[in-house]
Amino acid sequence: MPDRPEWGVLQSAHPHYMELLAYAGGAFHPEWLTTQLSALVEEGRKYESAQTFYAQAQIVAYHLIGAALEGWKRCLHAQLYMRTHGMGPVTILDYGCGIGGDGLAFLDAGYRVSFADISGHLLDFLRWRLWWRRYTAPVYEIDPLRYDEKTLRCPRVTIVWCMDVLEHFVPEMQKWLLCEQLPRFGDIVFVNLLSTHTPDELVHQAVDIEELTAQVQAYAKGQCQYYDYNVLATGEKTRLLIYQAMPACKKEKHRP
Amino acid sequence: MSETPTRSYGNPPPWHPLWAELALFLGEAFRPDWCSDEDTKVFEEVKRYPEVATFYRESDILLYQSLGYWLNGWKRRYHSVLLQLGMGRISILDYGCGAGYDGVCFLDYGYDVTFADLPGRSLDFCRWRVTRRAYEAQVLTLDGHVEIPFHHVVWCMDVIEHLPPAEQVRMLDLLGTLGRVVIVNLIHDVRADGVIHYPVDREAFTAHVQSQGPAAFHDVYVMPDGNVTRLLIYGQGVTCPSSGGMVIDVHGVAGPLSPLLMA
Repeated sequence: MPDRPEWGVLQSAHPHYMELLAYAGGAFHPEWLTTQLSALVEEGRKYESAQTFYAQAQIVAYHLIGAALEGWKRCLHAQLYMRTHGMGPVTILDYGCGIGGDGLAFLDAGYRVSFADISGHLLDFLRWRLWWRRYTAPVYEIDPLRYDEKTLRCPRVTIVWCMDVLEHFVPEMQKWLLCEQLPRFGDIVFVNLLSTHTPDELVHQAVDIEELTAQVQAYAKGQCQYYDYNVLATGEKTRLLIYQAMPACKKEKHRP
Repeated sequence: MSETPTRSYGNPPPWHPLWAELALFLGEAFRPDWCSDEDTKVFEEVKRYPEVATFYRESDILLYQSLGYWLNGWKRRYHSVLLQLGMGRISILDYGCGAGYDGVCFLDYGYDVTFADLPGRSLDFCRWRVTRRAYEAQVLTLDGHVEIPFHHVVWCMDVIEHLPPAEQVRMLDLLGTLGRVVIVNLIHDVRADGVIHYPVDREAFTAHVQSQGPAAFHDVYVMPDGNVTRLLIYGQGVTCPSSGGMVIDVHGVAGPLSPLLMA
């Protein structure tokens, strides 16, 4: 492992950063040890599209670790733990897993987990993290040009877990993801809607939380619950939607 | 809230990676017939030891039993309480960590974790697991000489019922000195054998900690056979403001006790 950098505002190194340091070696960027979104967006402007950015930009891994350390998703995990108690063996698909922080926590909690995301350095790092921890878990690659089920052949799971994904899709794709794509893969969908006060329209798109909630409620025919978390003074918040996959979506369909 | 018991499904097949990890740790000594959370094999094994302290220190069977119990998911509901308590870098002392299943899981949530337990096979396994993941978390051996730093949260699960009654209340007091907020479970097992499981008077202990300050409690599991598990939260970080309700302040950012906590 290379020499440790100065950890700056983080004061000390959490094991996640040590893991990234071990992975990146000499290519480690101490200046990216920040959770400021501005650094992420600034880096994002160097790429021609959001897809290229997520597939190639190294800074995203730093940002995702920082966000995990801040604990934004702990309350969402709490809901999963409450809901799945007594359900028997639970399988989870971490859809849009990034570097797999959620799924790794679920593996440690004893769930059986599979991962899915577009190919790129984030998925490479996730595979390395699984190897580093000696975990074996399936990792599926999503074809960003063909987001239909034929490109993602994974066994049906109990829970589809999709966090911090919707806001990276253009609005016309968001409803399709919620009401068609995610329910294909499992029985219950856990997804969050993250409102961004000032969407940059490169890495963060506008999310109409109320409109999308209404659409999911109509789709799930009342079998949908939601909870608002992390409500900030700016009005930004995270809404967790939990809903049942409707039977029609268990059949194969193509994206319109 | 009352819950019916769930069947045991933590046992192979299919194997979870954590079983494979235990097999790797034990090598040739690994016993597939012990891959279970059943207490009966533990009771048989403890009879082979002259005293229970030696059993805890030397026997491998608790490595299997604790993993089977972990995979059954009982502790996830306790975790759901912790996960709502606050944001940011929070230090957790996993006191009586055993093989460290809780603490390793907390590391993935961004918490800073210190593990502590008596010397023995479980702590050896915990230290091996932490090292294997290249985690630099401290693993403290409670040998009477170790100094334990003050933490934001003291997490003490499935420990009290293994102590003789005279030591149980002393343990609750000790935990209160180790961190701002203590989260401990009190398991009343109607089949307490008086060897490795002792009766736990949850009402008396709840009254005891409440006599020293605000405390929250919730009977997480109320089983048809009479077993009850109570989660007790107390310490200097638990306060009752004049506006009403109860506030848990883990590390300076106070938040109300979530309704989910008491759901």
